[in-house]
Amino acid sequence: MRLQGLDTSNSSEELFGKAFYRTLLHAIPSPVFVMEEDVRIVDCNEICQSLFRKTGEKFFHECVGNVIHCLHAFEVPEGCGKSPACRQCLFRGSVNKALAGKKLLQQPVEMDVSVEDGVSQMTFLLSAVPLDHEDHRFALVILNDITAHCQKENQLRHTQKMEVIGRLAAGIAHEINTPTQYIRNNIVFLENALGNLRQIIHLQSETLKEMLPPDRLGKCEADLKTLDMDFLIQEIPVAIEQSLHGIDRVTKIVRSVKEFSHPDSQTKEHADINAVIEDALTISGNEWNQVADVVTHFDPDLPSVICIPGAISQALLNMIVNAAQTIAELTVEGELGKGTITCSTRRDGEWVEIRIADTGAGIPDALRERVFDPFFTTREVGMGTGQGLAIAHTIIVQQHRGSIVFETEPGKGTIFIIRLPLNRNKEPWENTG
Amino acid sequence: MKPLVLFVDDDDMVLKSTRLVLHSMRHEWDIMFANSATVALALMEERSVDVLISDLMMPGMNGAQLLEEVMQRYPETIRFLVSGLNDLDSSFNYSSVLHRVFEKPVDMGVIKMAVRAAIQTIRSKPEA
Repeated sequence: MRLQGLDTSNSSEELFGKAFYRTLLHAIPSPVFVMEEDVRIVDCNEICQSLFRKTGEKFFHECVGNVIHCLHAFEVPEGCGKSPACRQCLFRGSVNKALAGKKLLQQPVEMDVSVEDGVSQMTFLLSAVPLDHEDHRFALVILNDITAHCQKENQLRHTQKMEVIGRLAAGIAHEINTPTQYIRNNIVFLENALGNLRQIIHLQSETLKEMLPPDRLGKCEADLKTLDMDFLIQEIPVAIEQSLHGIDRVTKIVRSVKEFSHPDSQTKEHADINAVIEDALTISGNEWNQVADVVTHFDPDLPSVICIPGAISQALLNMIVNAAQTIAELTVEGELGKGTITCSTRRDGEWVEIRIADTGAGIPDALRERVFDPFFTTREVGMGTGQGLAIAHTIIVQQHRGSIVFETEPGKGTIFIIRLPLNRNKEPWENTG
Repeated sequence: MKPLVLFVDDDDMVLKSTRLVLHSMRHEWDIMFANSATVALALMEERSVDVLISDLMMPGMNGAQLLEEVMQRYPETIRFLVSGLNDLDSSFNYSSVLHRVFEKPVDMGVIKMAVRAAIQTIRSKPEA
């Protein structure tokens, strides 16, 4: 602790000189680089190489946009410093400020950094400070990668949001139960009553036939005809049946919302996976019915699985939505015809296997490793959160000790294969995360 | 004497429509309706009830509390609960106070069968 009375003539800078500078630069576990006018790189530490697309020393004297491909640099190959879009670029702005003599510390910047064929959104805390050397001014830039931290924060926020939506949905589902109950009761009553009425009408008409003289009977039958008697007798049951069907559908939808949003959904229970998939399909109907047909091949003898049904439902829902989006992209929102989403279940030894297949574009080789990464998305900005498959992965693998893999063929589609352990002879898991 | 069924729900529309749909069972059992647990308990002081069917969510005393009270006062009564299931309180031991729980909205056909089965159970018991 020699802070007080530090003798600058004896400082480590004096002692170690150039070696100190190089060691310090490369020891810093964050990308550090020195830039000059035109946002060109003059020096950087080793860790930059993992961030920059070029290796070795090829990036020296390059514009930063050529090595860090932020979003607009995709459209404009010259990258930062050259295109009009760069005027709004926070990165370039900060560097230019530093070159003008201003110090900027810990400025959060989001960049879409290119990785192979995909884009990964990264968040940095950017510090840019002026560095004067002889007659020249440079900017010293330090990027502190806080992507993982932000992802965690976002995931937490997302979870909290889903919890709020879940509670809201459960409340609404509960409120709908009561009117559904009496609508259903009344329809069933009308159905039974109509059966009796038909017998009453039949009895009365038989009696009339016996009692009335032929001329009165003829008039009576003509009157019944103008009152559409036959039509009513034929159509009222149809109307009742349709109403009953409708109210059963409402019930089914409310049930699946309840299943999805169950506030106590963290408890493990025996669940019928076929029913869970049906629920997920019902809830996600809006996502797929314009672009795809759904085919189900369920094993009717599938054993029940000890799981958190709400969580499995959410995982499958995410996968179905993903399948629908893939098909929507390939078919231009269904204009080029509908695709197919096939959901099937079967038992495989001590596992239950669920397959969700789409007829979308498939996953290119280069992206296969990143499919389950949080925030990895191939969708346009604002279209997908890149969270869906990551959440599904967490639920299946971490929460349920299952597995999730996929087979894909470009141009043909992708099959996601989810396996859940039956856990028949095991204690409930010690920790469900 | 015909067996007596008591149906409890705080919603009048549910009571009215249940009365309509269960009307066809009048030859098999008598049915009474109450729009609160308090009214139900008052009715049960007058007549002995064979099967009690109560909604869970009710203002004042709820369905589960009603069934618990009935279990203590009239242990012979068969007790059914109708619930949205997601409104069940996980700290309450439902299985100790009721015979069956039905998910709301419940198919009255299912209720008919359940009541019929309950009455048969009561009937088949040797007289005390």
